[in-house]
Amino acid sequence: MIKINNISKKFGKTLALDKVGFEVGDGEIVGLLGENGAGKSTLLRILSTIFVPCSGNAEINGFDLLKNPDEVRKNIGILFGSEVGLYERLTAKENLEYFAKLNGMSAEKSKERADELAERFSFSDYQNKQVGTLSKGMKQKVAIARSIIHNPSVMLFDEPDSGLDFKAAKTIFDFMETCKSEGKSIIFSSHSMENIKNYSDRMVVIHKGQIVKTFVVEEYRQKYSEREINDILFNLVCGGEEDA
Amino acid sequence: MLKKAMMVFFKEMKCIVRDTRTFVFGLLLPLLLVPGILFAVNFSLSSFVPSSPTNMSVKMAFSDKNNAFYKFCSSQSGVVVKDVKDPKKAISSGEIEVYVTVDPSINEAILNVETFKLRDFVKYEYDETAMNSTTAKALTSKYESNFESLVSGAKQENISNINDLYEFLSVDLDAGIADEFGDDLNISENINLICFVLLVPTMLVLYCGTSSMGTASELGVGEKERGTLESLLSTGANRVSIVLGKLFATTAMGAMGGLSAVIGLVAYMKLMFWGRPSQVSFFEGLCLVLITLGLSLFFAAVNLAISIYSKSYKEAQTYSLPLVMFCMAPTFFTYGLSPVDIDLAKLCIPMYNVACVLKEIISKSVNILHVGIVAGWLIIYSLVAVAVMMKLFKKEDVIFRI
Repeated sequence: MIKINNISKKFGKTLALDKVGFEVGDGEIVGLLGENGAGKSTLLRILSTIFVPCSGNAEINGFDLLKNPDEVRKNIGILFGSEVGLYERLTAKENLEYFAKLNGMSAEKSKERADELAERFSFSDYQNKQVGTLSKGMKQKVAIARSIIHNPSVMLFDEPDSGLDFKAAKTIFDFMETCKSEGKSIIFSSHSMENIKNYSDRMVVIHKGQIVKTFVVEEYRQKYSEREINDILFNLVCGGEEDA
Repeated sequence: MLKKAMMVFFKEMKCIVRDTRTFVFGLLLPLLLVPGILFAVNFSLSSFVPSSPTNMSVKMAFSDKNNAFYKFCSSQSGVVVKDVKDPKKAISSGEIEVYVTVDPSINEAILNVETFKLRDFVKYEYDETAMNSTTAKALTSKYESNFESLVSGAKQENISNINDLYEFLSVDLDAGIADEFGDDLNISENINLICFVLLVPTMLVLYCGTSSMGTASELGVGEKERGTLESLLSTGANRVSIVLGKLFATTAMGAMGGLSAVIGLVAYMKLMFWGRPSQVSFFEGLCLVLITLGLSLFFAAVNLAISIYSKSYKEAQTYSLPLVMFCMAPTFFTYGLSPVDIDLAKLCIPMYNVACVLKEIISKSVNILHVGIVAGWLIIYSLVAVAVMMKLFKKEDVIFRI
């Protein structure tokens, strides 16, 4: 469960987020749509405690973002699309074990969990190879495993489709669906209307740090044609009105 | 907190060791380069400086041979007198090093004038741009003073005949010096030691600074460039643990580079001063290691702070290298300083103080008080650098430079 309450963030004189607030339930995927610089990544960085909000707050599974950042981090997994966030000179297994230990798991449990995830994502055969020698698709699988090594109940995906070919992006979105079926709360950001429409339950459109529209995707699908939804989203993303 | 810092440290060390090129060059280069430079300097100096006074020689030519100074110089085993037609050409071609023009009235002055000064009667021509010529000119002052001493002796003996004077002045004083000092006055070894004392502090500062530069860039801005920083910051490890682990790894690499340089230096000393008292004792070696470790910690913190602040690897290198070079500057001020002249008040000046203590260690005059003071200041400077680095790592507008 994620509760975001009126979060604002300023960088110097630039207002990156302006009183952003919404909730994400268990087993729900919320898509953040916005153009580059809209504030999507900033919001995800705040939720993963990398940035501190100037005002407002959030709760992750009941843990206060500002008061309990360590507990918040234990409850979230984050995955980036273009950057896999792995150490190239460590093996796939060493990467997983390293992140597991940093998340407070014992050495023995870290090993068990790394083996389990290698099996689940079908990279047992190359788990002892240095990540630098792996293909992009393989790296992506290891990165996914890394993001859930500590079995978080909240997943944040920051532009997971960015820079990936169709196959690699499909792996990520399939994983996202699996997370949903496991009851995890998911936020994913993208500037691809198609992916947001296809994979999220609810959509939050951000323009210049402000939420301009929140809606349930299925409701729009019943009301408008695909083309009309695209036109609406295009207008919203560019800061215009919701005109179908 | 320390447990997670150690996790980060071991992981970083594993990555560094697996990067064979950086690892080998970080250790091998300082090990070989420092002795290599000292060998080169020594080789270059030995081409114009003789190994001992017994081998000293000055190639001279005189404007006139009928004078007392010519008679004296030609009797010295260290002077090779030549006949030349064109002095300037002979000097530029290296046939002679110094050409002496002697005033014809010199003999009369020696015999009749009460206070005789050679400089009133001789003029020297030499090549100011050639090292061998200027060295030879410097050596002539020894012959001037020896000659004047003999002239005073001749006056006391009341020698009034020119032939008697010539006979009196025909004494080889160079042979006397060689007999007196023998092998104990080994000029090339002394020059070697002087180079060593001058260069080592500067080179150690340079190596401790540069050895941690690459690692700091890799562990700081490298995380940003690889896109691993955000993954790392969103783990259960807090920022202090992460940055401490990185600091330990950077210090370890800096120290290894610095210690490689120290090992290279000690090996050089063993080879060059074999069996001589200039060897490094265990205690002096320990002091060298301690100072190297302190310096490495300081530079690791500074380089890591720069790396954390930088947006790219290139930017980090752009700031780090000039800074290390700048840190070398205070060591140059100790070049003319003798270990006995070290001022306690100046031991607070960073790098200058390190150079002073290193100078004492190398010249075998270790002062425990000085070592203690410098170690204390190094700790203070290192703590300040570490505090700045930690503060920077906690600031999101710095690590992400928004």
